[in-house]
Amino acid sequence: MIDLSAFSAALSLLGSDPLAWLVVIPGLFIGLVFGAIPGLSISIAMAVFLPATLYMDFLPAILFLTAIFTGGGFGGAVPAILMNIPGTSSAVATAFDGYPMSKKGQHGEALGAGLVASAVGTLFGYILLMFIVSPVATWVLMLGPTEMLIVAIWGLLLIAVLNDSSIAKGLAAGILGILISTIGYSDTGLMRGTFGSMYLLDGIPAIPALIGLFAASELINMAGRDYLIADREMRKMKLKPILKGAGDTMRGWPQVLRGSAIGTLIGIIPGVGASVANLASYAATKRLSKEPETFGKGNREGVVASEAANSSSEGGGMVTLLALGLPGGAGTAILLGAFAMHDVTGGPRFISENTDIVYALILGNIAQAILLLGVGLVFVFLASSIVKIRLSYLIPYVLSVSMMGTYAITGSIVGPLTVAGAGALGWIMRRYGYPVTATVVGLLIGPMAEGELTRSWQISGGDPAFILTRPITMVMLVLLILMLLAVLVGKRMSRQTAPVIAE
Amino acid sequence: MTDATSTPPVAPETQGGPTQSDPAPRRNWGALVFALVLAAALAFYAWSVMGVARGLTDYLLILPAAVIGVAAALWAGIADLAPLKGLAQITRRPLREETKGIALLVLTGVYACLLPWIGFDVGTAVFIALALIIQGERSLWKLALAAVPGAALMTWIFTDLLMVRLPVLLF
Repeated sequence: MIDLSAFSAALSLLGSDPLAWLVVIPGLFIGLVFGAIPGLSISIAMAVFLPATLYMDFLPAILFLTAIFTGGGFGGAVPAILMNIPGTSSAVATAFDGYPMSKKGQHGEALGAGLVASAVGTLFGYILLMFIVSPVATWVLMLGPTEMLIVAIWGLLLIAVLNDSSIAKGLAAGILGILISTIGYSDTGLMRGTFGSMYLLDGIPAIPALIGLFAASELINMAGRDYLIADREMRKMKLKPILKGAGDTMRGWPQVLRGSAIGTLIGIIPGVGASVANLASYAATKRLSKEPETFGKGNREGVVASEAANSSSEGGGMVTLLALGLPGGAGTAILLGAFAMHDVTGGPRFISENTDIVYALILGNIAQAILLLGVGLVFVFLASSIVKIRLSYLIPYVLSVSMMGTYAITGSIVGPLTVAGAGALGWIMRRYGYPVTATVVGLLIGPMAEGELTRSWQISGGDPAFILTRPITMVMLVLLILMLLAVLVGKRMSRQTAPVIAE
Repeated sequence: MTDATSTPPVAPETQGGPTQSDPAPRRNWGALVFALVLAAALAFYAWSVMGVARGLTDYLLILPAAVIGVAAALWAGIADLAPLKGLAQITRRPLREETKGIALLVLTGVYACLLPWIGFDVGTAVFIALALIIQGERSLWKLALAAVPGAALMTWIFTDLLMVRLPVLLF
């Protein structure tokens, strides 16, 4: 499992290179800032700072970029908790309960819980990586398009079914997201739904749409209110609630470990990553909870599940990067670029020939996860003063920053227009009880679902019986059906037994 | 989910639920209209893709998804026609009480559309000022202080610190 001689060589490598340590704290802070600004993302931060690593040695260069990755993993949670704006697509589920906690004046607890879950999740992902990096390379290759398709359907159905609206509204909203994601040039070069506009050739950009659906619509809904938190006393930021949230999370360690395990496993699958991991972990935690009805209303476990999973998926993503040379998402794709800049190619040969460097990378990231607790605490304390700002001022400022951030992402007016359009759509959907979350998940999962469905169709020659020859697909399909049945039966039973509050 | 938490505040005049003067049960006609528009949009998109498709793989996902989506939207719309009862009735804010939100939505759309011409610097300053006016701010010096330095700071951060090439009019 662990090559001890390579492990000690890794320790001496880290000990002899002070730059490998000097870059970590600035990297974490950059990640936190970029992750926390709506519209900017971890991948933007990593891309912006990639050239800065050109003159560094390989180890500090990668540790600097992974520090940005780690910081950004939690940075996205800060606006998700304080303003219902997931700073990154991997913090979508963090907003589900983090924001209701903020509205109840528990923003300190939510931020503390998210910080600890994030740090433990990162730690878990990298510790697991140390043990599984070699054997997992062979397992990942066994997942084909049919299995990946089931993963995509799983992600969407869970969110469509597990919401407070009706299942019909969840499905309609989810499918709306999927169809929006297919606008633009398809993989086969067909233009779909562009109505002749050149701006739509690349499709509807997911991050601006996500910001519009979640943030703009919610901000506009708040028009007329004074503050995010009505009670003046609750707006005061104290260290104690942050530490309480952190302490409670540590005591609820089984939830953190469950979220971390889900995140790492999903992170290992190429192309899925943190944006699916946080949703899958949230859905699993809600399903297994004794009080599922409290989710979405400010349950700390929801924040923990999401943050542990999105942070641990970083370690999972590094498995495929190191073992196969395949990036699992945008962040690891930039890391792959940094590998190329230093004439390094990931893959089984890299692991066998440079085991000491692989271990040094893993150990460096474990240290980053621990340092994140301290750097994150300072950052959280500064960022949470946002609840003291009057909403009438906060709304136009956040909308303006979102517009600028989305212009930065798309490089054209498509970003701001998408925010405005998606904001209007989200506002109407909220008004009539459609879950915007399902639309966002559909938007994120749609391209993957279409690609895997097409590949499955091509491989099978259009014969549905093909899946009978794929045992992993069959097992996943049976599990999906069983889980859906359990959820539907549970919903029906709770509807029949619950007191009719509305009456 | 977040949707559940964003329930609008109870309008004071509706807190008592239906009264003697308003005996007719309220129906959610707006929800039906939205469901019909959504179903029509999904169907139209699938139809437009089918029209240009060169093979099955071009609509392999889109067609079945649209069929399920249309059915789900119609089902949701019909289900929403049931008269609103209890909490659903008293917490629902009539459209006329959403004027600030609707005005902000329109303002945001206009701001986004005009950005290529008025730039992020001037556009953002005007947007902030108008958004504050919509939300009840009337003090001229507060409007100016929030709009001009705020827009200038944000534009400077993006253009000079983050090196994003935003369209600007003055800077």
